[in-house]
Amino acid sequence: MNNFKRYIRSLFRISIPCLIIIGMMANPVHAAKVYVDRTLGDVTAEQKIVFAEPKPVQVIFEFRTKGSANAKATNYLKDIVQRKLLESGYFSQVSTVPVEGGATLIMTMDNIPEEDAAGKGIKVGLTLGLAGVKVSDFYISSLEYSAAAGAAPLKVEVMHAIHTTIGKKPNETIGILVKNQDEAIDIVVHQVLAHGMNGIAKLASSSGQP
Amino acid sequence: MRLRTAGLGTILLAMTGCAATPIEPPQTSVAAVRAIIAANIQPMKIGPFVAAKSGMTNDREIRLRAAGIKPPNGSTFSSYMGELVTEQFRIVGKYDPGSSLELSGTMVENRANPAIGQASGTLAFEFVLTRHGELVFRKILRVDQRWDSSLIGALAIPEAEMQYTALYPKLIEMLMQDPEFQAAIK
Repeated sequence: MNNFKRYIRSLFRISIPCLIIIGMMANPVHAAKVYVDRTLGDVTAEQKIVFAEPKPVQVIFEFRTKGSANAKATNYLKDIVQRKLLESGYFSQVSTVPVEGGATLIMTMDNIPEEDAAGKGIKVGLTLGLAGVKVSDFYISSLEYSAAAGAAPLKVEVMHAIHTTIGKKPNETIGILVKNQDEAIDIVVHQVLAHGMNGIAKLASSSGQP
Repeated sequence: MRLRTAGLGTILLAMTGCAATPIEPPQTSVAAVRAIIAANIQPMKIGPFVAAKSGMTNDREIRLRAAGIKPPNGSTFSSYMGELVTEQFRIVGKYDPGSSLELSGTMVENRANPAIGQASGTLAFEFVLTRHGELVFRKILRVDQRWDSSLIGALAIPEAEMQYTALYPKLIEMLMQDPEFQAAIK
């Protein structure tokens, strides 16, 4: 019987902190908030440089995490990248297989998470959200465009970041507050492509390439 | 009765905990694609990719601590390699089902161990290239990968899945850069 009482008491010892944590997680103040870094921003109409004649292009895209191929994220983002490239107006057609003229755009997007992000998360948990924390995911994107098979590639690198806070009140100075990670990555891809393609169009224009 | 219920519960719990999830279908690997372009190979067809021993258990599932991963669409990891090779060749316009050159492979090693601290993964295939049915290349290539692995399963398991699936394009890259393979396709 004593054992049974000890068992019931131990259940309470475990479940009371659990309930507190669940309650705090349900509290919007402690829910994760996602921000898109403001440094890059959008390309304005005045800044935008376009190709004289949009041509078909083959897009070869890969998402990486700390330099390693990330098949899951590649599969999630490849259609988004293709759609946004077509909408950008730089190309008449966007394909995953070789196209007429042999133009290619090779793009990699490498996610470098902030060091010790997991450790920070544990700290938040242990302090029941009172510590508050901000972790950042950095994205280093490389775009390499060849106007035709064998043509010298034009290369541009673009950096971006997503910041996530837990246990903190919303703070718009961190970045643009968005609904969730999906919306954040959509904006990041959009801005990276806008700046990347603008940079390539600028290089093409200065080097006299079509 | 109580024992039977408890037993059933345990089995159900074990089944839930052990359920293997499929990995993504073959994706583009920029490194593998670049290696194929650099190798300047002729278009070829892709033959069968199989496991060395029939019934090789890790050709259908890899355990990652309490979780498991399996190939997409109910296939095997060895045939997944064949599909991945086909995809990379198709991307660079080097896949030709009517070619006299045929590349096939046999999986001889396949494992991942997401141990706490230092995890590791190994993948090895014997690649065979034939021209008009005659053997021109046969070699076992092996790729090993080590990475930091968290104590927390929720972090370590997705990391292990990513690192393990990245072994496949690395092996294609290694094949394309192999001097004997490059000599055989000339």
